Amino acid sequence: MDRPPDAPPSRLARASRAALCLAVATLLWVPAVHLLFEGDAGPEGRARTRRALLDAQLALADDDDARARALARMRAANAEWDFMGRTFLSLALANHALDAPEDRARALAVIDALLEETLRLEAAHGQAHFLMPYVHAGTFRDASGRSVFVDGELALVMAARQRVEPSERWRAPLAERVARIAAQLERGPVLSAESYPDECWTFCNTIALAALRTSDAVTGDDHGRLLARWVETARAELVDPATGLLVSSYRHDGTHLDGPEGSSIFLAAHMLELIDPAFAREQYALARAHLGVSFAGFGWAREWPASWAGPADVDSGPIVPLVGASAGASGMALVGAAAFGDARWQTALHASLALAAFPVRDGRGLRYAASNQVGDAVLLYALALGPLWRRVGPPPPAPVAMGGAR
Amino acid sequence: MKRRGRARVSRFAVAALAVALAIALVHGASALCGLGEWVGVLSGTPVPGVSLEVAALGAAVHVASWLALVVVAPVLALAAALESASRAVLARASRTSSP
Repeated sequence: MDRPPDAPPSRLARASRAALCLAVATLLWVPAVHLLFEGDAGPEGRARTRRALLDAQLALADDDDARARALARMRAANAEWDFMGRTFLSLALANHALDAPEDRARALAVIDALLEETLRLEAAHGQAHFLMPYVHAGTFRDASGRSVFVDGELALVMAARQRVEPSERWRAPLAERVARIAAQLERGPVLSAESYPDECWTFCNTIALAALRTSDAVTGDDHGRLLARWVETARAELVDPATGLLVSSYRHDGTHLDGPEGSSIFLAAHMLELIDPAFAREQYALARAHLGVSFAGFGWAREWPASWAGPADVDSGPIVPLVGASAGASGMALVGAAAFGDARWQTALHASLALAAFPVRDGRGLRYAASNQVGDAVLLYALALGPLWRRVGPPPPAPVAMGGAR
Repeated sequence: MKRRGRARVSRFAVAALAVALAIALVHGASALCGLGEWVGVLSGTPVPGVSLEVAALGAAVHVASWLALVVVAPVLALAAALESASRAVLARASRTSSP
């Protein structure tokens, strides 16, 4: 039966029109959403974010009660975060001190205070104070019984401090820490030191390598052969065959434990810039390919590559279902993207940060509600890095075997 | 007999705008209740005085309502506007083509 021309449209026609309007609206809106969150993603916006994050971190450092609460909250989940928060804030401040000489004295004073307090806590409670409880579950394979997680990061902060402006206060402690690390690496079957009993982490070992290089730039010593051998060994023993990425953890003898993970590899690649820039860039490119995601102007990183089924853990944070985004991996991806000049992904990562990390601006500066002190310190470091590595300089050319030639 | 006129705004547009408004209200309520500070669980950081399960639930509400506010609500509002515009255009075309 024919419908009269002025009859109202059928239910099917109305539903079809509504569905079409929804589809068109989705196609118009979704690709544009990122524009709302890119205000601070450009160079000027990043500079504002860096200043605001720095202000908030410095205000926290000055407020004993607020700092105690922030540290207690992190330590309830992971004592390592207390320690790493100190490391990343200090490294950010070292970069800032080089970039903004007018703030240098204040930055160095905060670094010194953090170092003094950290060493005091280590002396009073042992390295376990900054480690997860399972450090007591076994025995270190290396006779020193020390964790390179603690020694490596402390050495890097001391060396960074000295590279900004040498102080007699840190000369001997740095030399002692560096000697311990170098000896421990040399004793390792794959030139690696343990962070936990019979558990080596690429994250910690590459930080330790960067500490040796930075220290060399301060003292004039040369650990070049050890560093070159580490890279050679890592290429042969510590690479995941499916991706070409460095695995994240392994036994003291080099047996792989966890595969490559986003919360480790982006920072490891950044540390390796001081050791072997070509290897570092290769690792970043692989990490970007296997773990990096970009969609509709937003960017994030997965904790595990498709070839490795790993769980959400204390390093990754909860993993967002369907998209696989990990807060830990995405935070470290910001470090990688900044270090390797991956401007497009850096913008996309910052857009995601503005969307999903819930920035809170108050009288103290900027913090992210979805983060914590260590997360904010990592983000600050991602925005500040550059000057320190430039000051350390590129690694010297690899030693050439001369044989008996004269 | 009075002829029944066609509504200027369709039920779809009204429903879409109502859902968009509801999303905004849910997120506003979530923010007012302080759930915005619970999203720290996204980084694995506990919320003082709140069990992990409850904090995760509160954070999920806040995050979901925020994402819905940013992505879904504007799509619904835009679709309502498009649908109303298309109705007006079709009605005008129908009037012009009538003898």
